[in-house]
Amino acid sequence: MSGGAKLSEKELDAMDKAFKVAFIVGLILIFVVAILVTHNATTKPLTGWQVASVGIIAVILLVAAAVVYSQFPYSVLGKPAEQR
Amino acid sequence: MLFGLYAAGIGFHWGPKPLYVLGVLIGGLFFGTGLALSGYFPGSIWMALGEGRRDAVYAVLGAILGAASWTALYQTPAGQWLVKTLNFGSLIIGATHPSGKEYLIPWNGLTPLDLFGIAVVYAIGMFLLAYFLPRYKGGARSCIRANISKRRTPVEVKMHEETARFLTEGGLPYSENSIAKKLNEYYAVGSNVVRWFMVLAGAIIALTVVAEMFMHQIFGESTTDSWIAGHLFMPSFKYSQVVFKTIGWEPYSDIGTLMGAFFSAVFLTRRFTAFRNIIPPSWAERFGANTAKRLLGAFGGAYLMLFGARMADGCASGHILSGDLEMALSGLLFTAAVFASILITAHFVYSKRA
Repeated sequence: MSGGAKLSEKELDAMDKAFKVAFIVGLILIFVVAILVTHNATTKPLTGWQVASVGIIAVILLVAAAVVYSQFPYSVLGKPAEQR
Repeated sequence: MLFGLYAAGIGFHWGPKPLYVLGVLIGGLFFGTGLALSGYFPGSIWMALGEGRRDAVYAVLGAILGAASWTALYQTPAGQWLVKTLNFGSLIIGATHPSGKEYLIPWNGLTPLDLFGIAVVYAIGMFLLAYFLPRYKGGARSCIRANISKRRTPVEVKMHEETARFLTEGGLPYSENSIAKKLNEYYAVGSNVVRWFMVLAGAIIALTVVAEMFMHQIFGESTTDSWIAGHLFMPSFKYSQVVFKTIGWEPYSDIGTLMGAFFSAVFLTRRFTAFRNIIPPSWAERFGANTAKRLLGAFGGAYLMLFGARMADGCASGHILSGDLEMALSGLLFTAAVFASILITAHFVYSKRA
């Protein structure tokens, strides 16, 4: 996933904001799903599907972030730079 | 605080890990070697994944395979020899923790108040270590001493700049007046361990560990890898059965660790690297910029680290953070083995240049 500044700064900014909203929604969803699937059973060992149902949301967010942020210029110390 | 509350009669879920000398010692040596090679802890692999670091994907795979290897070894005579030879049970300095129970039995003649006194001396010893241990190789002083003098040496300035450069390499752009600049180029790299924000971060971690103990949980990260390996490849193995029965919130803790770093990388530090090809400078200096070598290092290092962690029944979170906090003898032995193997591996592996 090589970065490149093909999109304008305005477009990148809009993508950044859209992803941040998606992230917050996903984070809330993680808490809601975790509460629902565990039924607040704090002392029972977690099962595979309980963890998978929460973990899949994190994976989807990571993939989406990789797609969005690979469009941004490669930066070092916050400034666009050549990849070494 | 922990032993003060205990002396005041407040009940805790004490869970020091058993001291089986050979397994904990050898596991600690594997753990430290893998840590020095991969550059990751079991928990920081999830953090790196949350920052979108490519080598963390390979480290996760290596970690699961390392945990799976211990699962396979555990039920063999060799595995049982490692966990049963010189097994003294769960011990902390001054007390025994009965198997399967949540309370402590102080050694002959000692009271909970005596244990609190021992804990105060122990904490002073830990603070003295933090005060005198230099932060960098060739460095003359610790973060605490550097912070007190409010003056940075040329070595410290250079190391801070290098650290900030690596942390932000391949990340997202940020402006001069942004919080990301302050976080990456000042807060995260400075010798500022006694400033309010670092003390706050330390206090949050300490309170999290104590709160988890109140809620009958363990602050651990590496059991999740055994749990994943058990579910994926070896559900009927003896060790998987043990893990399935005893697992607590650890898988959710790991997801939380990933999400915390992910949140920080997107909203605060702008360090999200989108799985670009980035080689850590210390690795590149020794092994060059070959991507395959770095990914193999992350995979192999994480494999050794998790194999050792599962052999010792805990990692940096379970043994060093939770165990040392409880003054567990197993945690102290594991810590000593890890530090020794990190120093030896670093000396032989990173002292040469590519």
